[in-house]
Amino acid sequence: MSAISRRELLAKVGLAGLTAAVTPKAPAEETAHSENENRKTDRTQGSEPGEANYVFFNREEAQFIEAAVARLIPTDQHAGAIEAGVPNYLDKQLAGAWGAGERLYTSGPWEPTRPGLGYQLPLKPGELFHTAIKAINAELNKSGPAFWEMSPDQQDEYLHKLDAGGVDLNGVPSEVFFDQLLGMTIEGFFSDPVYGGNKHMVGWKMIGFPGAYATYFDLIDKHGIKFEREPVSLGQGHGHFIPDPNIPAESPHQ
Amino acid sequence: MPTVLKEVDVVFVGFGWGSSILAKELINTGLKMVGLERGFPRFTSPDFQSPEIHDELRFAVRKAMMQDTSVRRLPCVIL
Repeated sequence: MSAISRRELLAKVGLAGLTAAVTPKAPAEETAHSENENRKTDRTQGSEPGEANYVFFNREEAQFIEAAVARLIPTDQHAGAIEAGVPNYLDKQLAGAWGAGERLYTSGPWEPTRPGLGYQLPLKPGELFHTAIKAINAELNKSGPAFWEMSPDQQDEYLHKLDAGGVDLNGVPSEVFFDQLLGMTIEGFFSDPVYGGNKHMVGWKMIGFPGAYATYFDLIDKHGIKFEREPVSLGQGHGHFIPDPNIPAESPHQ
Repeated sequence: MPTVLKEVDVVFVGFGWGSSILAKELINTGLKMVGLERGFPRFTSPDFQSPEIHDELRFAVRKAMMQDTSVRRLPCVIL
């Protein structure tokens, strides 16, 4: 993990959100109008970093999540988890059907001590996050600074402690929570922007992934060229095919 | 109560890609065949349509095409 100063972190995560919340936007009508326009033209974009509208996390949970994902995928010459809107991804996924355990088998029997059986807790993803983060914040509140007030090195140390396991987070083994948090952070960084993360497709641009092109039909007989198109998201509404410009798109019956 | 079905020569447990091709190859042998399938029927379009099918989170990670284990589980098979 590359070093990131606390000042940078606060500027990106905390202060940006606070300032945005308390500073009146002027002129308000114009801002609202242009935001709507942006949404209309590009459905792949979420809110700005630090401006996530949380529906699942409460304030303290959000502060923990923002600080933690900023350490898991820190900002360097590429965008990090914060710029990619990973907290927004986590929030929207946990608030929705997936977070409520849709399609997740939760009827036991549970054998948490036997290895190789996968997830062995009766908690649904949303319950897992609420329980674990509440326990983390309560534990740190007893002994000193909150997670988001620590230095990046201290935060890394604490995350390593969770990862190593053996910490009981009110019934959730810390390594189970850490694995879920890391996994979802990676998902939020690389999955399609329609899910709330990978904002501006920063994750895809970083690795050169083209995204959800429906077809490369027009490129089949073009060899030896470098593919340099911008990635596309599922939300950009590309059709099944890129039509031949010589064939009119209108139906002949119209 | 288990339902006892008529005896056949070949039973395919799961009738997807593999067994349907196998069944087609065996069709001229005259063997009596039955395919058992519990999944939903899937069609090239729209179930495997681009670009939706390239959604890795939905299909590869969250297994949207697989059985919903919250309501349907492995059946009890007595051989």
